[in-house]
Amino acid sequence: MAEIVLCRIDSRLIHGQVMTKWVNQSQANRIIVISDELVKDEFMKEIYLMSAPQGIKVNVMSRDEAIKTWKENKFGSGKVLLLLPDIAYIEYVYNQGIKVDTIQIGGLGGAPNRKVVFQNITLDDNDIERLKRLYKQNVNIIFQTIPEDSPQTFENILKKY
Amino acid sequence: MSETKILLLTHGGWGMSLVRGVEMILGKIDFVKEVPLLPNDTLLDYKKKVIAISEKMSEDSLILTDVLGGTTTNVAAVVGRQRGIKVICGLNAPLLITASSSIIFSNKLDFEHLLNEGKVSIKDVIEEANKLLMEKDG
Repeated sequence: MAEIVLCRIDSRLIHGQVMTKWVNQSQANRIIVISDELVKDEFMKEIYLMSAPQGIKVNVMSRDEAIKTWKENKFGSGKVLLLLPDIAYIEYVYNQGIKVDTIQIGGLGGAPNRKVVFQNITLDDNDIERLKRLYKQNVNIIFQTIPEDSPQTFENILKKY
Repeated sequence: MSETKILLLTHGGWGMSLVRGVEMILGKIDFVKEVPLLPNDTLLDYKKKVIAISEKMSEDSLILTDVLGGTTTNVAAVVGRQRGIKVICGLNAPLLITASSSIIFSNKLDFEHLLNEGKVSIKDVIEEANKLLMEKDG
């Protein structure tokens, strides 16, 4: 059984902040990226695999593959940084059995109907509903882009929405 | 305005400071442009900006990015592949100097030479000098 040391929602998936800050901070030795889109994009997948820091194993899985692997062996072994592109993804895999204690929301892309709640994190009405449902199931939800920022609670963020 | 031959993609836009530094050595290099990745840029915003500039670039030009695994390089990989433009990551001064001089002197880029230049440009200076001294004495 692997240990999920960090579950992060970040629309950029693997990028500078994740590679340099969060991998070290969380002491992860594996990154599992859950993205149906990336699984289909062989070229981008190679780019992400190629750019993994030394000693860090990267797996890219679709949502359903991730759920299946989780049910089989809880991702095997190691300390996992779980990376998902958006809030719909985490709700889906959570409801299908990947019960993480804490989710960290990092950068989420902007769009006209999305509201900035903290730095480069934006939410829309659907996200708020999804987060409320997760919150009701006692998931600890924090908003944090880099380790140097103090994490914002969901209660705080709700006030800004 | 001269044609963009080299596009720099860097976190926060440090590439333009590098350009000013390199201009102390080479003089004006106005064929070098930059798209800085800003803290509030989403992946999509940034990609759009890079695509917009790359559309005016020819296939024999070059995209230089700062770090492998960063958004700058991830975006360059996609755009460069679509447009048929070479992407090299690990931007440093020797790399930009070599690439810019090639353009100034021969108006074309030798990608093999550039990759090699980037690789050999990092040295443990005193250690290397001592080694050379030892060889002389030896």
